[in-house]
Amino acid sequence: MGNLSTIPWEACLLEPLHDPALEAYARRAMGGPNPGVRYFARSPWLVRAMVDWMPDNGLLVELDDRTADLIALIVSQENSCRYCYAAVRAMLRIQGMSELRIDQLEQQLQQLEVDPRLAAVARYSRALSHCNPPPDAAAVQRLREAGYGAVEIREIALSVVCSVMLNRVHTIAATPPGGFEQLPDQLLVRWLRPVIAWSMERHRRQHRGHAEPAPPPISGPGAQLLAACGGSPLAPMLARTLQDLWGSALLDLRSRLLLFAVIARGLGCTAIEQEVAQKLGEAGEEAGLLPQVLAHLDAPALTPLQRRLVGFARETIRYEPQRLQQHARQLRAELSPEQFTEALGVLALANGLCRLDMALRQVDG
Amino acid sequence: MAELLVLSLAALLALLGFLLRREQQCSARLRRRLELMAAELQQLQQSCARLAPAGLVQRLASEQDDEALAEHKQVTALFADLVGYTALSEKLDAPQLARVLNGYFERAADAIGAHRGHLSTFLGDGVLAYFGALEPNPWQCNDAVRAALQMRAALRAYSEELQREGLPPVAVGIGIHYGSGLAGLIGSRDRREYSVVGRTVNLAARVQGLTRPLGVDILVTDEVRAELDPAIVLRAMPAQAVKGIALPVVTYAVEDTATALATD
Repeated sequence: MGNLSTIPWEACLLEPLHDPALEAYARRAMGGPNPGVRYFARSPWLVRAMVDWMPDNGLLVELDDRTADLIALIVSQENSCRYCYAAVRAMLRIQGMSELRIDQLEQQLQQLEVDPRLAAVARYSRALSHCNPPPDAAAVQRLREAGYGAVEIREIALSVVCSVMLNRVHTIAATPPGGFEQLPDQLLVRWLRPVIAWSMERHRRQHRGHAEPAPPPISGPGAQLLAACGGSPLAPMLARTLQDLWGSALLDLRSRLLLFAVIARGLGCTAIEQEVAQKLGEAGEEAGLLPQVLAHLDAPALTPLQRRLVGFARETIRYEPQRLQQHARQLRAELSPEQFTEALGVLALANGLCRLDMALRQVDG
Repeated sequence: MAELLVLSLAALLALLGFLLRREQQCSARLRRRLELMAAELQQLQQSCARLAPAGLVQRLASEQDDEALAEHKQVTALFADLVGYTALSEKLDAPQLARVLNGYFERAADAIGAHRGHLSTFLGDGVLAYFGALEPNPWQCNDAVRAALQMRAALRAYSEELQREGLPPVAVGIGIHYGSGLAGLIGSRDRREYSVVGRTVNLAARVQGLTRPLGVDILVTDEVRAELDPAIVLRAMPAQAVKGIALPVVTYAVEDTATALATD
């Protein structure tokens, strides 16, 4: 079950909602059912993003799947996300790794007592996940010295960011981890393990990414990042996620932009902060609003709800799960389930995109 | 002959089953021990993360060179000190005094933790905390002042509680300053702790010392005021000379937040 099963975890903040179309989308893309999807069905773009932003779902070209899996394990453990951690461990068990071996591997990764290539990846993944401070040029250089090429390093950063996002979605919502924690020990799963493993492997091979033509440019926060991702399988996914996000209206545009800005400021991502400022200006907001909000997490022009949202946003940058979940519960009481789901999606995405933007700037020099 | 063969096979199967079962039990015991050890390790790492920035803990684990990890950081230092501790210690017996002190420390620590501060140390009846030292925090001055306001409110409630029990009330003086400091693992070879040293911490302590002569409980420097949310109401104090600082120090008394005043 792993050592995260002792981490305090609140009762789930979202009621599951059956949406056959979204569940079918997830099943098609992932090659199997995804029990977590139902909790987020009130925000369709978020479900699509959660499915699309899985590294083994065609986002990787050069990085091997095993390294991507280990990155997911490291980052989920660092972020204390019981749901994602249980999911990764279940996947590794199904792929044939014993629980004992996973525990040993975790400890070796923790002590960096693994081969130098994997140790460099583990250090970089932790640094990008915490951003305390964000990985610098030396961290990227260490990956280069360990033998990783530019594309692989970008994919390492992307794999970290995918987990950063999913960890936040599931931690804020306190998605019940029980299913995944018990899955590998279920009799049927144990019997069918080789078949499931073969099916997963086949799905991965079929979906292995390849270079894509760059999607048409878009405006708004994330536009520069999209341009930097041109040619990678991520670009069309990112373009669609951004279009969906800025096109959604469950939360007002000002709130969504301010959430992005607070995360960008907290992480030190100036590019996305500037893009938010531009978009707010285009939306007719006063120029003084953003500097005020970013300096004090407050401004007289904010509604009480926007004030609560920006206050909560900074908590999602670095957090302790239970405290975050308790504060999220207070926030949920003031929002509709749809708005709450969208808010947590925006926050997770902002945390991921700001980290990715900073990481790719380091990689590309 | 066939019966003997069947019996031998059955015995062999039983033996294999017994060995398999023992193997499984042994493996389960090992797994449980490993899980316990892993949980302990995880707890230790979490404790370390509370004492020093995660990046530093990680670098320390691999590089083991404390001095190389020190860096200059912009931090906000909060220094709180109990008012009238000597008089209090004369009035109360040792267990009562320890109870009153622990109640005060607990409330101070809660307020600091609730606003993302790092409680560095208890110095006698004083508390030293940093904001923005363990993780980058662009809102550290606001956090420090809000922590001080929470301490003020919590200690008022605590004093009422003590008075109901026939014990004397407690009050604190708090000084807050924002500036640069050397952050790192500081101390002797055997005893090092994550700390910030320099003028910022000294000035926070000096400013705390001004609370009594100025008759206020929370004082911030001009550097803190420049970063503060305008909703926090301040009152300018006359500049004061303090030991070790060439120019008189400009300070502001923290009244409350505008919202709280409106509610009152």
